[in-house]
Amino acid sequence: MAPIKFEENMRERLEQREIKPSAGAWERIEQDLDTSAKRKSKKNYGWLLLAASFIGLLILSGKFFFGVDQNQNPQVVEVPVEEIKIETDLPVEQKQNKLIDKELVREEVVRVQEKPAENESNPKVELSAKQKEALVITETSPEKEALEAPVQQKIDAEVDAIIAKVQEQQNAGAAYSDAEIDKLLRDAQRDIISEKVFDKERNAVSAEALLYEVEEELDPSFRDRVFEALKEGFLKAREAVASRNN
Amino acid sequence: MKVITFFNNEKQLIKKAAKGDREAQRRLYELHSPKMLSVCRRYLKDIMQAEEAMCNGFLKVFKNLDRFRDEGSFEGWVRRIMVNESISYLRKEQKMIFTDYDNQGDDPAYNPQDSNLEVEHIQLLIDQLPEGYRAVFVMYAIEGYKHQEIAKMLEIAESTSKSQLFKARKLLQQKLSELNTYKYGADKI
Repeated sequence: MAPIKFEENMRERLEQREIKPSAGAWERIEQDLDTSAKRKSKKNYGWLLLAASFIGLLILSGKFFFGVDQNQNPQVVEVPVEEIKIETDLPVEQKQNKLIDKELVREEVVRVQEKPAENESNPKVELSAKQKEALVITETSPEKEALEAPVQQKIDAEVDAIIAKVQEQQNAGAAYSDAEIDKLLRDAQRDIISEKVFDKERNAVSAEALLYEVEEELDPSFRDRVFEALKEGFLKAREAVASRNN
Repeated sequence: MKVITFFNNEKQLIKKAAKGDREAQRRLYELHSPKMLSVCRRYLKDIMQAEEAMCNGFLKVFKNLDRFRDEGSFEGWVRRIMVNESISYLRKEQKMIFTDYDNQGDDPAYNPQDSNLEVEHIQLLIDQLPEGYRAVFVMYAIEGYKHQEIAKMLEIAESTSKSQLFKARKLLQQKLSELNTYKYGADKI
């Protein structure tokens, strides 16, 4: 359809027309723009809060899981050399306590080995490499036995000598105090150990015995055993003497 | 002087306004609001309603300024927003009623001859049309939209748009005849 002149005229006139808005129109727009801007910033703040709380939750959960993993994995801690020095400076009583602990551990290992043997119906327990190693340590070597045989004789001789001394003293009318007896026993122990290290027949220091002695220094169960044997022998002998006198 | 030249540059103004520069927004409003109020007034009989629609339109313009591309004219983009806002206003007020009419073709009898009407008279004639007719007539005859676009914007069928235009023209011719009778004391058409 051809353009209608009447409508063309309408369009032109209306296009040229401008109507000035009222004074409050811009203020209204400005106010609405400010309100929407505030609402927008509040919305952003809300999102920030939500994001921050989510991150916090992630960190907490991560810490929790990571912490559990750390507990599960045993950490290898290198013992500094200084610590060993401190250990050597420890008093004799603490040393002995530590050694007793070690002894207890060894006994535990032996028990682990003995338990399956007691009940044969139970399936064989496969021992780990560490346990086997521990068992090997507990076994006494024939060399050690050879070294301990003359020592036992020496212990017996020392016990007899102490009993004789005590007997002699008692016959003389004076009684030994416990401290004096302990002193006698310690002297005897020292004699046995030095006897063991120094071979009188060959007039030389036994290298093997010395090495063994050093090992015993680190693991002084032998020294304790000697002391215990002396003490035990002495007590038995004293009881026997006491009963004979009665 | 430099500042005035800078702010007169519409592109710079648009960029600044998009970033939330209130002064730039105000300048854009001052540049386009008289024309845009005239656009809104074509659809809405009441000047206050037209101004309300225009204010809502400018709010949308400033909120969506970052979406404006330099492909078309800024005025064209703003005008489209104003038309949409005016239609939304009419829809919200439930004033637009579209009635289908069988005859959808052009009326050969429609040929108004009076081309010397003042803009006030033109507006008066348009205001006398029912809202449905008026919207389609203004969109088609004044804004230059096609029936397909009008149908999409008003959410009506294309045939409804055509029938509304037919009825609007018929009614307009009748009203123009009445106006001429009033003006000249005789029917010139």
